[in-house]
Amino acid sequence: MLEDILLKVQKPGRYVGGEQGSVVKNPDEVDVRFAFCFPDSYEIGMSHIGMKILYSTINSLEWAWCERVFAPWEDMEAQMRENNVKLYALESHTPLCDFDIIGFTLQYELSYTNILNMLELGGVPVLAKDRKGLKNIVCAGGPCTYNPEPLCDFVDIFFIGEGEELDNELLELYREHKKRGSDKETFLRAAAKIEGVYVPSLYDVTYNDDGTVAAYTPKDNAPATIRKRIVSNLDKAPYPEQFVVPYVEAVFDRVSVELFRGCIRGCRFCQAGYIYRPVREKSAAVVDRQAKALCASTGYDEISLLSLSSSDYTELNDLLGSMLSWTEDKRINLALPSLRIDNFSDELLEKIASVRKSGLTFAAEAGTQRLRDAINKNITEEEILSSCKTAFEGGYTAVKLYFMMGLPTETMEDIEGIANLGQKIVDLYYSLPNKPKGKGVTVSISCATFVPKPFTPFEFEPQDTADTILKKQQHLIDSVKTRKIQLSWHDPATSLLEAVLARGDRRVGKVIYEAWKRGCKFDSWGEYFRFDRWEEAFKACRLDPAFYANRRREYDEVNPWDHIDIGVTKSFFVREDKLAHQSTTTPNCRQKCAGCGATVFGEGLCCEKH
Amino acid sequence: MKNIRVFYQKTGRLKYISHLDMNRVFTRISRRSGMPIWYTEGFNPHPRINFALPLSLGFESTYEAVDIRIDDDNYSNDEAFGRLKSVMPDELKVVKVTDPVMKTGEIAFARFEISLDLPENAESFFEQGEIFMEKKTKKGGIKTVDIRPMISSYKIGEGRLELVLSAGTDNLNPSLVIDAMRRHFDREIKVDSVIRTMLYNKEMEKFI
Repeated sequence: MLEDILLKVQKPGRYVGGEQGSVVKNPDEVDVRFAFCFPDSYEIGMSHIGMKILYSTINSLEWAWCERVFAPWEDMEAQMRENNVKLYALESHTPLCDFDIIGFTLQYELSYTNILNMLELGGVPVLAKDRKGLKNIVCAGGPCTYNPEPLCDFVDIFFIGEGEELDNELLELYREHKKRGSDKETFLRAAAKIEGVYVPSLYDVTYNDDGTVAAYTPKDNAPATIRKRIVSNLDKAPYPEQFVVPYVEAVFDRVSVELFRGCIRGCRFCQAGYIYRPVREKSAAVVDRQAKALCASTGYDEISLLSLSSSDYTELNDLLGSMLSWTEDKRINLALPSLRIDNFSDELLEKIASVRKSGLTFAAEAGTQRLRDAINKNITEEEILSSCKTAFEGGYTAVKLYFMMGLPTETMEDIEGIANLGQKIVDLYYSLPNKPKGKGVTVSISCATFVPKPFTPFEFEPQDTADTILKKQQHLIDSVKTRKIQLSWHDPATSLLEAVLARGDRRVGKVIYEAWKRGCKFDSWGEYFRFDRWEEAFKACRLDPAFYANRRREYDEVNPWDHIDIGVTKSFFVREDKLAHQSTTTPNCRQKCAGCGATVFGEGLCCEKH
Repeated sequence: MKNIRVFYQKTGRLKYISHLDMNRVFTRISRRSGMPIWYTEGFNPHPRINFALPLSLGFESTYEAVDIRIDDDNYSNDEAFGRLKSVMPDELKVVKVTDPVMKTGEIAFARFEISLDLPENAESFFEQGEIFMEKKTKKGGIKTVDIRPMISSYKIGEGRLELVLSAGTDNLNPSLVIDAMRRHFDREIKVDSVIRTMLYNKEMEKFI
């Protein structure tokens, strides 16, 4: 059946499995079967480092088998429906409905409709209440679980925090209960006792007349708050020695090794920097060893060193020194994304340029010092220009800068600031005596719409309305006076939807369901995104997107994520938001501890200071 | 430096991997093998890997060849074979490693074994003097071509067809032959598998 379909679709190699590094076990010798589902296409999902880590940690359990599932492209989905082929895992081609546990990774809000679609395509009831018994427990992990509420109708268990230990603990518990023949409710009540597990069905939500949350009430001895899990020692934490290597083309198809988790900077818009605190570094020797082992086993010719702010990695120079000693010989390229613009030195440039030049991207985020201070992006114009100068003198003729518009306290003056900064960079290029000969410069400015996220100081802030954003975009276009600057941005409708899903409550789940029923899927792909259908879904559920996205939230309002505990406290976020409105900065963790609350874990950088 | 010619099979799930993907596959296989691979100079160093003849998506093959440049004149082909065998998957089985003899440009014919729902009196199709079909040109246009002369020989079996077709610069894809058969017999013909089993130069000598 499958064979007949595969030659009728684009890139059939995405649907067959058998890649080098994939794990195949005997289903009869395994007690628990886990389907790790990435709710997007194969090419996108195969780049996800979290899946690679958990695929390895779960498969290290003799009695468990973790397989991979991705969202089929439209042509394949049509063929599957027509021929009654259920969505299956790549390793064994077993349909999703035959798995014990089905796990989704929530990397971005616009992937939510794909989750529903994959469940249905796999023969699994989409609503949690329709799934009885221990079979087909649906769980989810990843950054979006920090506000899991919009998905509570569909997911049985959320993993809050890092999964290396947490996932296996849950699997052990499941194995026990499966042996005992427990019912689903008994299992879920036991699961809620594991730190980091959030079982939504054990919480009742009540709302005030104005639509805001009144309270989350736990039942059956579920904990009042759920504290996230972290891995204490990244050096000792499990890390794969083998990756599944795709045959077909995939994005970011290379060896990836993390440098550290969390971030010291405290930029007020950035959720990742807070949810992954406390900052924990991996030692250079371990990074080097892991990268070497992965290159040898996979045959990749590129290594990417990952973190939220790589130039802050303490041992960066030593690490690059030792890695270059073997990567150069083997013609392996070192990619170092996420560099901060204020410590981009000649020394660093020399090191990363030595094998192959990639493009240079800096996140300036805001066009004026005033606004950069308000968002706590502690970089000056001088630093931005100095880094560009280093880049230009080093042979780069193109730089890309990321900005956001719609930031709290922003004015039209700040928008003009973006154009002015771009112009200064262009002028800088042409003023240099030793710039690359005979080539012009391209300054690419990419301007995203700011989306306020939970667990940031800006979680209280309203998102700019689409009208305001359009006006600002036009103002930016009008302010740019040179063809050397190329502008790009996102469609405001996708940002609005992202904002609703990011700070939505449980009722938003009905909107997701309605949107999916109306055919929404692959919402993060421009060619599929249908805002009109989402608008219909909101209307059908009698919910207003503006209530979630464009409303300022009071500091004492109960937010739908307040029962999740990440260490960093709400009072810290309140303090920081107030400082933002005074355009006052906060120093980074290494300069001075700001008392965010992450010390409660007793790990990482916080320990070094206290 | 020298080139080694690796003969291998491409079967099973690997028939869904395109020719373009195969380049990337062999680049990684070369690296994992630990052989002293030769790299190009300059901006973006990569190995020199050249395939004898592309294989269409969906076809299997038991006689594939790829040349890989090694940075050691005296590298042993047996050593190369051992190293490749240890890193190549089952569905990409390495058969032997030799010094290249013929140039890949010399390939003129390819043999295919096709397992299909063969119509009665299949002979009548091949006994035609001319078979006109529309072929895509390299520039993306379409032209009408007589494909009969490009069918060098044929053998009809039970649910089986063995064809030797022109290959290389003048290339006839067996799918086009089957399409022509569909038109001739005015019915659908279901194909179960297409396996390329041999490559030849214009003197009909095995490509080595």
